[in-house]
Amino acid sequence: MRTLTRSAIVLSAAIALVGVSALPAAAVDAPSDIEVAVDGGVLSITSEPVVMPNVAPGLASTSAAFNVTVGDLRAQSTLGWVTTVSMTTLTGATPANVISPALVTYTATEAVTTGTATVVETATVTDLTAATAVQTATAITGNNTAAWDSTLSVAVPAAALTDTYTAILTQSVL
Amino acid sequence: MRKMISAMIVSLIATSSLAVATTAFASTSDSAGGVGIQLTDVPAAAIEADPRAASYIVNAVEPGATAKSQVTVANLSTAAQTVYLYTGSAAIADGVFQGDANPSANELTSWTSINRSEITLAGGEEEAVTITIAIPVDAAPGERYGAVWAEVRGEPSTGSSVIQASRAGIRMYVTVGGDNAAATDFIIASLTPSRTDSGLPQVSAYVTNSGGRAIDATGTLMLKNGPGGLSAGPFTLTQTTTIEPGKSQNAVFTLDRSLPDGPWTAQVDLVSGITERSAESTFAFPESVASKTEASPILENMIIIGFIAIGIILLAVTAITITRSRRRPHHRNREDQH
Repeated sequence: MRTLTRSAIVLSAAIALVGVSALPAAAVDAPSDIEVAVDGGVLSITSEPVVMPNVAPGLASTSAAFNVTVGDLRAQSTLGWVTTVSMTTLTGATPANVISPALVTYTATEAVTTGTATVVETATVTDLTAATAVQTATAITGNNTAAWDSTLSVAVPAAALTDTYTAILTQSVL
Repeated sequence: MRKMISAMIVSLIATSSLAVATTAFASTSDSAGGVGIQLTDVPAAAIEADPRAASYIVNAVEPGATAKSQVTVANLSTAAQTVYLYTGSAAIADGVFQGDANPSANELTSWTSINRSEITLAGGEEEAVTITIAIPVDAAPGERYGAVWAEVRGEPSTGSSVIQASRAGIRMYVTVGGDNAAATDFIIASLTPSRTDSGLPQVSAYVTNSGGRAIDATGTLMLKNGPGGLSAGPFTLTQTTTIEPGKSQNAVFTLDRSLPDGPWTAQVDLVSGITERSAESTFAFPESVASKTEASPILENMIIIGFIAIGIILLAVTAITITRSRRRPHHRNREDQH
């Protein structure tokens, strides 16, 4: 009886340490009818900043490679995730000066993964107007991460006017 | 004793698996500008019913009812960051659940609210927010898709013209139950050119109400690729066309008489509430009475030219005849002299 009590104490301490909530997501049938839940974590995305060099009209402004990392700590099986990319219109300090996001290409390298996941990249996205998939993860078991290098390139039209153009590049994971 | 050992092993496994999670979490937090999102406090029964409910907002809600979910957002950076929270539309296409570029909206996003729109979190800090989905009483049955997004924006760095936004989202699969009428839907089956009795050109859009609710169609007509590269419009539908479910009706655009016959490429965009449909067709308007009278001046001119020509010929013939008749007496005189 004393041993049993002790084991119960050890277990509850372990559970407290782990910070497990009352989610029997992956219940393990222990002989003493004690359930241990494994709690899921966050789905996250992290990206290095992108720096675009200044160029003359008619040339392409291509960024240095920047690292993007997706962390899937939801501890689930079968659920995949999709990373998409989109960009707003590049607008100059003079608002009439614009460069379409259709002239922007986003190139991603093959992802380096940890955990169990099959991540397939779309080599190059040639139009960033609408959200377009760049990395798609399937066949996931448990926690996994994927990291890749991306480059962004803006084909500045020959007719573009001198200005400093700004836009928002959105990288999403869902 | 054996029981105790096995119990301890179980607890060890649980601890070590979480340690892996924590390590991975820490490794991502080393990089700048990261954001994470997680569905928390999901009832066990919901996960039993559908395991996806552990990570996605999967709900079946009756019209008029409200569903609440809790989402925890995490700042993965070591520096303080502002996390923006908002909803967006999503769709399933080519076997992939895809969120639309911000800003985006659909019925589900209009029903969904988040108790915070932005939170400033210290490095590594996390905070829970509440998502409330309030289904209107008259919502049509069916599944709707969307996403709850947590976004961080990088500071515009020197020399960079691109501001980076990184966002992580929770998928929403919300099914509306109940016996409400089906959602608003309609199709534009065809576009037909015609003329009114007085010769005005018309375009009739044949609209079929394929949904469960009456529609009030309004909209515009654009004519493109006309003669000589002409474009005309947009012409507005002067009268709202109301159609019962299952019925069809023409939405008629009446245009100006001076419009050339074509051929034109016509594009009609009709809207009822938030439902938009369009159709495109290439045609020429039937030849009008006006265009017939347009052709007649040329005919008249030709007749006039003809008359003038005949007149000239007649004059010439008369002149020749006169000259000859005048010459003849001379000849005669000469003959007489001989």
